[in-house]
Amino acid sequence: MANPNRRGQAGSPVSTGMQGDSVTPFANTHFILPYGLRRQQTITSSGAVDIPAGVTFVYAIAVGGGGAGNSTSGYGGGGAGGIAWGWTLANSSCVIGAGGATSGASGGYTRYGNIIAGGGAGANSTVPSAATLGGGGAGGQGSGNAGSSGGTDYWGIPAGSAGTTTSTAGGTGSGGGGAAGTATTGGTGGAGISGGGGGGSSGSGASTAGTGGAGLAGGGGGGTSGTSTRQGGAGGAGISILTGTAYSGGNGSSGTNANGAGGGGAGVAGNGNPAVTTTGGAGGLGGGGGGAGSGTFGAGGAGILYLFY
Amino acid sequence: MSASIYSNSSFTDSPYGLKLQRTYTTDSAVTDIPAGIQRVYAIVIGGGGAGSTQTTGGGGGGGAGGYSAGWTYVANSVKVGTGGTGSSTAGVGANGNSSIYGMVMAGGGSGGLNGTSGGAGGGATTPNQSVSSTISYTGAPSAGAGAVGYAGGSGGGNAPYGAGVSAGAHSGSATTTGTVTAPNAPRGLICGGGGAVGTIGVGTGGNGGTGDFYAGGTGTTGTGITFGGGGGGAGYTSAGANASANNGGNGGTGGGGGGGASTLGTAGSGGNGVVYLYY
Repeated sequence: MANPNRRGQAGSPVSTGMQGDSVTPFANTHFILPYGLRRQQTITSSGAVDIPAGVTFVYAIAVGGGGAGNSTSGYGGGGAGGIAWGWTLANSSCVIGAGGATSGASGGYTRYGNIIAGGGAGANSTVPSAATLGGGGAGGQGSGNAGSSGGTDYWGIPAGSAGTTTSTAGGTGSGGGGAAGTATTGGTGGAGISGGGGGGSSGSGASTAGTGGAGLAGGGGGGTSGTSTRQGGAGGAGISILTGTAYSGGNGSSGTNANGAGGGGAGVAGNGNPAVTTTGGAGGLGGGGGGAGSGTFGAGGAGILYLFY
Repeated sequence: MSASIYSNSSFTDSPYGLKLQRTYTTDSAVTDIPAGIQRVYAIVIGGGGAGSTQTTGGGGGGGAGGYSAGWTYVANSVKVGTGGTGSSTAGVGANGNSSIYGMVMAGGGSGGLNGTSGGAGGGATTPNQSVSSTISYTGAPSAGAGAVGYAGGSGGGNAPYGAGVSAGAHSGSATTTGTVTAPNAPRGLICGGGGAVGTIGVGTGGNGGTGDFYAGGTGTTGTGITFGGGGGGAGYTSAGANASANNGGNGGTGGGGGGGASTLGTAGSGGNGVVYLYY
C-alpha cells in the first residue's frame, strides 16, 4: 500500500510542467500541506525538542512574536509576527520569539531547523523600523508620519508597503505594511499573512486611530491623542492555522480627551486583548501585534511553533 | 495528456519517511544512485567563511555557510564547498565556497571584512566579503548588518543581531588599549565565528556562535596583543574550535565560520560544507 503521507493534498497546485513520471518537479515544497500528518507538538518557549527516534523529517509552522505598540498617545500599533512553514530535518532544539515587551520593541524570531519566521515590527518611532522575514510593519505616529513596511517572508512572498500620508493604509503582503498616522483618522494596517499595525491619530479635535491589519495573525490598533473624543483602533483579526477558527482583535478604548488606546491584534492561537483606558491591548498568542497605548503600550503576543510528523 | 497526483509518484513532494542514503564532504562523482531513483531530496551546506586579521586591533569572524534543501533530479556529480582559508596577512578573510547538487545549491559564508566587521551568512549564493547576506534558496530576503535573516547579516549591536539559519559572524574590536571583550557570535543552525580583540590591556575574543547541535569555540583571554582570538563557529556536523593566543579558531565542519584574529595572528578557517542525499 502506498504511503499516504507522501501524496499531495487534493487541490494542491500542480505545474503542468510536471507531466510524466520521469520529470523532476519543482524543488520548492511549500505548496504541499502536511496532508496525512498529525500535529504532534505545540511549543511556546525556547528549548529542547524531543522527536521520536526514526522520524527524520518534520513539517513545521513557525510564528514569530508580535511587535509592541508605543506607550505614547497618538502612536501606531505593532505588527504581527511573521509565519513560515515547510519541511525540515528533525531538530533537538528550537527558538521561540517573544512578543515585544517594551514600548515599541519588535517581536523575536522563531526558528526550528531551517524554518524561520521574523517578529513583527514594533512602533518604536514616529516612523517605525521595517519588519523582517514576514513580520507585519508597525503603524506611524499620528502627526502625518508613514508606517513601516512589512517583511518579505521565508518563501520570498513580497512584503506590504508602508502607508503614507497620501495613501494611509498599509499595503498587502506576506507581512502587511504598517499604516500611516494622520491628525484625525489613522490608516488601517495592511492585510496579509501577518497584518500591519494601525496608524495613530494626534490632531486637535475628534480623532480615530487606525485598525490593525487582518491576517492569520493581526496587527495592533493605533492610539489617539486628540483633544476631543478619542477612539483607539481595534486590533486586526486572525485565524487559527490548525482549525480555521476566527480570532478577533481587541477593541480600542474611547473617551473624551482621555483613553484612546489601541486593541491588541489576534494571534494564530488566540484573541487579541482589548485596550483598557490608557493601556494598549496585548496581542494574542501566536504573534498578535500589540496595541498602542496612551500611557502604557500593549505587548506583542508570543510566538508559537507547531510540529507535524 | 493528463496525470493524477494520486497515482503518479513524481508528484510526491514530501520528504517524509525518506532515509539518509549518501553523505558527501568533498567533490565527488555520484554514480551509485540505484536505478529507478529519478529524483532525490538534497540537503546542501556551503563552506564557512574565514575570519580576518588586522595589523592592529581585532578582525571579524567569517560567516556561516548557506543551507538549502529540496528535491532535485539525480545528478552524476556533487560539488562540496570548502571553507575559506584563514591567513595571517592583514585584510579580508576568504569567502567560503558553494556546494551544489543538481538544482539545490548553497553559497559559502562571507569572509570577515577588512576592518572589524564580521562576514554575513551565506544564502543560495555567496556574499562576497560583505556584511549583508544573500537571498536564500527559498527566496527569503538578504539581511543587512545586524539583522536576523534566513541567512543572517554580520553581527553587531545587541542580540540577536545576525541570527538565522546560517548566522553571521560577530565583529572584532578596533580598540587597542584598556580592557576589551568581544561579544559572542549569534545563534543559528550553522554559525559564524567570533570577533577578535587586540589590546594592550586585558582582551577577550568572542566565542563562536552556538548552533543547534554543537557549540562554538571559545575566544582567548589574556593581557596584551598576543591574546584575544575569536572562537570558530559551530558547524552542522561538528563544534567550532577554540581560539589560541591571538589566532582565530577554525569553524566546525558543515559550514561553521572561522574566528577572527588580532594583531597579525592567523585567522580561523571556515569549515567545509557537506551534502546529504535522501531517498
